[in-house]
Amino acid sequence: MLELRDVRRTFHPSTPNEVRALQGVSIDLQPGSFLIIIGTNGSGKSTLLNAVAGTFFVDSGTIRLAGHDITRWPEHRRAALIGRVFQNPFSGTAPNMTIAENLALAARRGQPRGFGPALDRRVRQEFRDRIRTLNMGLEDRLDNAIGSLSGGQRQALTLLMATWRKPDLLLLDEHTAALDPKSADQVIRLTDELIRRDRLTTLMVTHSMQQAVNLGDRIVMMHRGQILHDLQGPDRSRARPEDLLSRFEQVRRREQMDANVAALLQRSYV
Amino acid sequence: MEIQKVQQAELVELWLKGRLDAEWSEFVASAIDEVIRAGCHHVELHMGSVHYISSAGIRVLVKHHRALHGIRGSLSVVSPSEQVDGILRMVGLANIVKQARQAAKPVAPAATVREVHDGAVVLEVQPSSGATAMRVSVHGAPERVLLGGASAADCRTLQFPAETWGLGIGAMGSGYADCESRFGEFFALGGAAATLAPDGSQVPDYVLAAGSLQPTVQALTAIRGTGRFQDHGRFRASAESGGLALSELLESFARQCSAPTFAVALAAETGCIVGAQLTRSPALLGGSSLFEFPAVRDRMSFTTERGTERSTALLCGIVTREPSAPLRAHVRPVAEGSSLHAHIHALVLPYRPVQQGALDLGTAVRQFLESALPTSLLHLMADDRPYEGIGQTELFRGAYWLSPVERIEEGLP
Repeated sequence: MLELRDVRRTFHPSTPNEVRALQGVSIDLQPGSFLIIIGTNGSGKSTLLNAVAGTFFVDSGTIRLAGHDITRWPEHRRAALIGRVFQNPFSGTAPNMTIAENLALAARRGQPRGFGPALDRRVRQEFRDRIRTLNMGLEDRLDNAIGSLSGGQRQALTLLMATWRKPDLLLLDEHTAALDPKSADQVIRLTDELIRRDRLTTLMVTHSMQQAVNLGDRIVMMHRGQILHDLQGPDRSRARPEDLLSRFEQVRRREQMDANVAALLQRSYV
Repeated sequence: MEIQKVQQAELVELWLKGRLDAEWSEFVASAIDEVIRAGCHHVELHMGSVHYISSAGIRVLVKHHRALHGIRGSLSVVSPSEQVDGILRMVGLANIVKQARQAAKPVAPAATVREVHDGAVVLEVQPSSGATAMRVSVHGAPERVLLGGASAADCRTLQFPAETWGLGIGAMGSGYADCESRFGEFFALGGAAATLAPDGSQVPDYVLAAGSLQPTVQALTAIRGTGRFQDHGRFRASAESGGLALSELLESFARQCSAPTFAVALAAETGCIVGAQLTRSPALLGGSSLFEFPAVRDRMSFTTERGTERSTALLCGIVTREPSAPLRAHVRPVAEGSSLHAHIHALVLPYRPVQQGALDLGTAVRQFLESALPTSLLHLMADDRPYEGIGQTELFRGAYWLSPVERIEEGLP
């Protein structure tokens, strides 16, 4: 479904601020696969999601999605295939528009939008039925501005909108990081339900080791723009939060191993 | 719930006031855990001002009573209120708790136990086992192996029955070819052997002797001791809550031990553990040095930061004041400025208090390995880098076994 081949991206090349954000990342994601991406700060997790979403073009490498080479597609064209939820619950929705109006936009994602009325009784009823599944009591507030909702409610709606048309790929970028624990829990449960129900191919970035082991069928750990570990099959099944933390610890130790440590080891290790 | 702690020599009284129910049970459990971690294994719960106890509270009493009983400690309920006393009787705990209360006073060390105060170290020395000095064999050429020269000819099959100990670079498997990619640090003590494969798994594997099964290691380099340990006792820091640097403890042992070279084993409650481990088998170095920078980053791991989590560790190794051949190639200075040279490996486990009093080494090793999986295996080193160094492994208390080494032979059968 998603195929990344040797994807590279450097920001501010040939300047003192040069950041090699992606250094030859290759991933094959089968249809219906749910991949969790974890990694240290600045490891390239979100950059990878942005590269797939088309926020910028990659310097080299190819990105194929659902049989299309989308490497040079602009972001808005990719949006026909990709649903996306951001970390900030205030991104991804239009705050001054009502819930129903936001949903109407999501329901026609990637399709031509004419000047005819977007909302009629049948559409409103469909919205009501779908929103009821959130169990947040929003089905009776279709005409409320989405900006009046709490962060958790808004993120749940954003998730619903992003998956409304069953996208070929769902991108979740730490989409619960800015929520209180109770709301984060609700949104994670909803995420799991929607992805399982519609067998959505998903890339999710998270800093939560618990989420990483509870969700998804594959875990990729990134560091310095590269894939360090790719846990699949039995390795994925047995992964526990403490195992992932231990891998982070190893990464940290590796980073701190400088010439002085090497000299110490040569002197003292036998 | 209010808790007041009163220290009475080797016994701690916790005076509880309030309800011991689900809401407060974990608070009380944490208070008891804290007392145990501080090294006190005799706890009295004064419950005259506790007027309600639920099953959640009873669970805490039972759990800690069992845990302390398992390490020859005790937990007693003293002068409970009428209500609590009634409930404990109803659930069949009154007898156990009251018997425990009556027998709760810690047993004074036997007259034969000698207490030695040696600077920051306090040793409770048990009578000698009467064992003769230990024999030690060394195998392999560590320098050549670590500089990339390992080959099948270096590999030896070593068995570690109960009265042996060992350490070095090895793996569990059928021979060199089978173990080529899995050679890492190994540790053997009290009828158990553990290895840490340098494959990123970070989980030491181990074998305990049972029936005719003997722990067997394929070793590229090794030190192996044979015989019973001669001296046994407990150690602790003289300061109330301080830890001991590994070198301080070894220096103290060296003063207790008549021989210039001695074998040591410890079951210790530890703070920070400082050491290194292989993350790539030396058999795969292809002629290049393990320590080449920056390649060493993918070949070794070193504890460059002080951990805060307490753990329990089994340690074994050899310490000498006179590093002469053939041992010289296998030992390094314990710390900057120390006159001692040593080679010590540590098998790290989740925290579990070490039983007080005399302790059988084989039983202790078995109990630790049967209670939890080891979390790490390290070659202990001092990090004496200027400015950045994090110092040495820190030990709080535990049991030790020592034996003078009579003879060191080169080559293993």
